[in-house]
Formats: sequence, structure tokens, C-alpha cells
Amino acid sequence: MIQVPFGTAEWQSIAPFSLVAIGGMIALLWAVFAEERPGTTSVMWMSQAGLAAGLVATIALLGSEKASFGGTFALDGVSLLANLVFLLSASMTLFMAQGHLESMGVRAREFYPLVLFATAGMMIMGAARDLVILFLGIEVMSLAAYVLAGIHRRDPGSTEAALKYFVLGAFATCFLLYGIAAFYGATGATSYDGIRAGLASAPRAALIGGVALLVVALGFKAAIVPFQAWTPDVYQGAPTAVTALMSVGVKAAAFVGITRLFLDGLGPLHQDWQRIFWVLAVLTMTVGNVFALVQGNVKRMLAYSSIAHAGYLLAGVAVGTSRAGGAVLLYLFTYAFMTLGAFGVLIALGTGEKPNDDLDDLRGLADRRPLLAGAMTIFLLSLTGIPPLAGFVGKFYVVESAVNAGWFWLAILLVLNSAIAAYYYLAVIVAMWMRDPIGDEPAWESRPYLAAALLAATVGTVLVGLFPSGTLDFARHAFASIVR
Amino acid sequence: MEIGLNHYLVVGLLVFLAGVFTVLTRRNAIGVLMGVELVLNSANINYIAFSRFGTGGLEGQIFSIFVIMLAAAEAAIGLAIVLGIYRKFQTIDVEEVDSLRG
Repeated sequence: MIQVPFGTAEWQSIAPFSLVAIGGMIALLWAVFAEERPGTTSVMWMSQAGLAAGLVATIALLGSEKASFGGTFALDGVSLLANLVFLLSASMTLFMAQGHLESMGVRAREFYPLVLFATAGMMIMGAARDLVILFLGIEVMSLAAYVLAGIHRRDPGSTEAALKYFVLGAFATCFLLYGIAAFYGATGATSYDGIRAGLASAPRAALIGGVALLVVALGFKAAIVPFQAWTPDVYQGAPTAVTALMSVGVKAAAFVGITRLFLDGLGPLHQDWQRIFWVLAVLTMTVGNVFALVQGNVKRMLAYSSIAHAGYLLAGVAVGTSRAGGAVLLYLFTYAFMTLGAFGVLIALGTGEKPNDDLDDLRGLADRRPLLAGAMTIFLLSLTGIPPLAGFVGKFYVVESAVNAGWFWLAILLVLNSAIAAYYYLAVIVAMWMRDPIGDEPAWESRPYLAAALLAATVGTVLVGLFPSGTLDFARHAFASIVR
Repeated sequence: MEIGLNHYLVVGLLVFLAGVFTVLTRRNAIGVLMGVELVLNSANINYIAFSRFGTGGLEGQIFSIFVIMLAAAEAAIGLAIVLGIYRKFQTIDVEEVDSLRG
């Protein structure tokens, strides 16, 4: 008989994601069954309330360290800090989508609750200490994300993005399940504690096969080369607000899941996976950067740039120390603000008829909309890694942890890659500030919610860059108890 | 001859390979979905076999129920997406649905 404990620790650990999921359900039911069909703005605010409830629960629990459900679900610094990243990016996505979807002719109220469901899945992934829970989190997140990618049903690109994302995502799930089966068969357990305990007596071939299958599956979700083929098409085809959520929230959730799984559950196997991740990290950042160089569409360029950033993050995972774990978590925090901001600017450029996200559309933006161009400049400089912006501290501490652990080549390749990346980020800045605009000024609409989200992203990018130490200490401390 | 763990694992592996082959070679989106279902069920065979013959206890059987539930949810969303594709492109050939290019 399986005993399922259910006490205070259990309630506390499920509270954040449950509140978000319940908030999503209430918003969904209300959008469907209300007497008068509610406008999108009110559904948006209702969904924001659900996210806020999750945020309050997360902040109230900050500092607690508890294992619940027999150690299969974690309530610790990592899951709580990850929750903050997920909730902030979801909330900013909702604000950015407001007006943007309507101007494209999408009146889907289910968009907002779906973002909440995806967020709940991310929060489960961040706290999972059992492969089954990790799997459930991934699916809760992905099923919502597939629908979100195709939310613009009249647009062939969006529908196609949904199909590609779904087929490759479902395929990745298959590898995940087969990998979990390998570990379950080899160690007789799916929880990280049980796997750690059973590793010593398990057949080695099954473990190596299991690690390979899990790397493939999670590599798909995190868009790691060579499993990134879907990324540019899906990111370009999906509505930009959804792209922002996918490249920030989904990627962050995948990385928190990867970090916890490999540093904690599969920690004793580190000599096997560290080498795999070393190679994949270098491949990922190089491929992402090289392809980003030749893109004429800024949205597609940002998709490749997000692949490159996945490479930097994976470098932190490969290093595998608690310092590196903390650096990865800080990186996710910084990455969230600047990437959401950059996609937010692209949303602001779009009008109902045209997305206006080619590099040529950004020419001379500084003359037409100086504030927007200024914000975009801050985000791009931060993505390049110019101090004192957020992107610099994120990269700096990953490099520092790599050098600290003696991984000099990885650190050198990471820095070289950042130099390549500077080229295509600066090309956009040059186009905005030093080139003359082409064509007539598009009929831009004023979107107050989007402006607020962009302001928040700018402030976040600057503040985290200036004062990273609090977050960094918290993240390092959180990982100190995980890496054993 | 006694049927043991290895027999089930071989069946599971064959179903897995058949599923992967289907996903990689089928051009019809429904065919791809069917390949995914095959792979999901191959994992289920493994879970049940490990649960019956291994040291894992009941967990494997419970997990396979989770997987069946997921397969249903995934099929629902997958078919809806394929329906959307048919409306837009008048085909469900995954190689013809390829308008996004850099």
C-alpha cells in the first residue's frame, strides 16, 4: 500500500501553482458562462489576479526549505525563485498580448487562462523531484503551449507553428517516457532520492541509455542543438506574445527541470552527462549565433539568439557545481526581462495589417519613436552582455563558475560566442539610430498595457544588472543544498 | 518456456521502433499522431513489465495510467491542430505545410 502524506508541507508546496491553475479555471469559466460576454480586458485582469495569488503565495513562502510528498516535490529556494521568473514572465506576457491579439483579429478569451495553465505546468516542473512529476509538469505546460502557438487560427503561419511544435513536442515526450522507463527499470524508482540510491547497483547500459533519452527529450523543450530545428519556424509563426512566453517561460522551466534533475537526481553520474553537455553547449551557442547573423527578420533573429542563450545556460549546467546552478538561475532571471522586452518592442511595432518585424522595418525607428528605440537598445545591449545591464551579470557569473571549476575552454568559447553575438545585436541598433526609415510611417496604435510591460522590463533589465548580488546569493544558497 | 521480463522489453522495443519509424517516415499528420501513440504505448509496456517483474512496486502501473490519460489529452489537441491545418492548407501532408522560411 502506498502511503501518501498530506500535511502542512504538502499544502504549502502545492499552493503557488494550484492558485495559478484555479485562477485560470475561474477566468476560463467566467469568460465562457458570464451573462454578457466579458471583454478581453476583464478576462486579462482576472487572469492577472490568479498570477498575483500565486506570486503572493510564492513570496510568503520565500525562505522555506521543505520536502513534501515523500521527497518527490520540493519547496525550496530554487522552486520559489523559478516561480518568480515564471509568474513575472506570464504576467508581462498577458499585458503585452492585450491589444496586440485584438489588432490581429484574434478575440480568443481563452488565451489568458491558457497562459495561466502553462505557467502552472512550469511551476510544477521547477519543483519536481520525481521523474513522473517532471513529466506531468512538462505536459501541463506543453499542452497549453501547443494551443497558444496556434491561437491565431486565421493565420496559416500560426497554425503551421502549432503543428510543428506539437509533432516535435509529442515526439520528445515519447523519448522522455522511454527514458523514465529506463531509470525505473534500472533503479526501481522514479523519485530523485530513489534513483540516487539505486544508481550504484543499476546496470550501466540502462543508465547511459536513460541519460541519453532524457537529454534528447529535455533538449527539445529547451531548444538545444541538435534538437532545435523546430525553434525558428515555431517562434516566427506564433503570435509574438506567445513567442515571448515560449522563449522565456518554457525555456526557463526546461532549464530549471534540467538543472535539478542532473545536479540532484543524476548527480553521481556527472562524469557521463557533463561531457555530453559540454559538447552540446558549445554546439548550441555556436549554431544559434552563426544562424542569427544571416537573418533579415528580427523575430527570427531573436529565435536564433534564444538558441544561443540556451547554449550559455547549458554551459552552466555542464559545470555542475552549486555556484554554476546559482548562476544558471540568475541568468534565467536576467534573460526573462531582456527577452520579454525585446519581443515586446516587436509587438509594439506590429499593426493589424503587418507585423513590421523585418530589420528594414526598424530602420530609423529612433526618429519616429525614440522611446521605443531607446528601450530596444537597452534590451539588445543587455542581450549582448554589455555592463552594467542584466545580461552582463548573467553571463559573467556563468563564466566565473566555469573558470572556478577549471573549465577554461568552455569559458573561452562562451566569451568568443558573445563577441559574435554582438555583431547581429548591434546591427539592429545601428539600423534604428543611424539609418533613414524606409516607406511611410505605419499607423501605430497606442497600447498602455504594453507600454507598462515594456517599462517594467526596462527597469528590471537595469536594476538586476546594477544589483545582482541579492538574487545571486539567494540562488547559490538554494543550490548549495541540492548539489551533494 | 516461461515468458519473462526480457520478452516484454523486446516487445516494447519493437513497438517503440515501429512508432519512431512511423513518425519519421509518415507524411500524413494523422499517421504521425498514430506513430506517437505507438511510442507512448511501448513505454507503457515497459512500465507494466518493470512493475510486474522488477523492484519498483505499483508505481509503474500507476504511471502507465498517467500516460494513457496524457495520450488522450494529446490526441484531442493534436487532432484539433490537424483540423486547423486542413482548413488553412487543404492538406494534412506535413511536408507541404511549410510556409515559414528564413
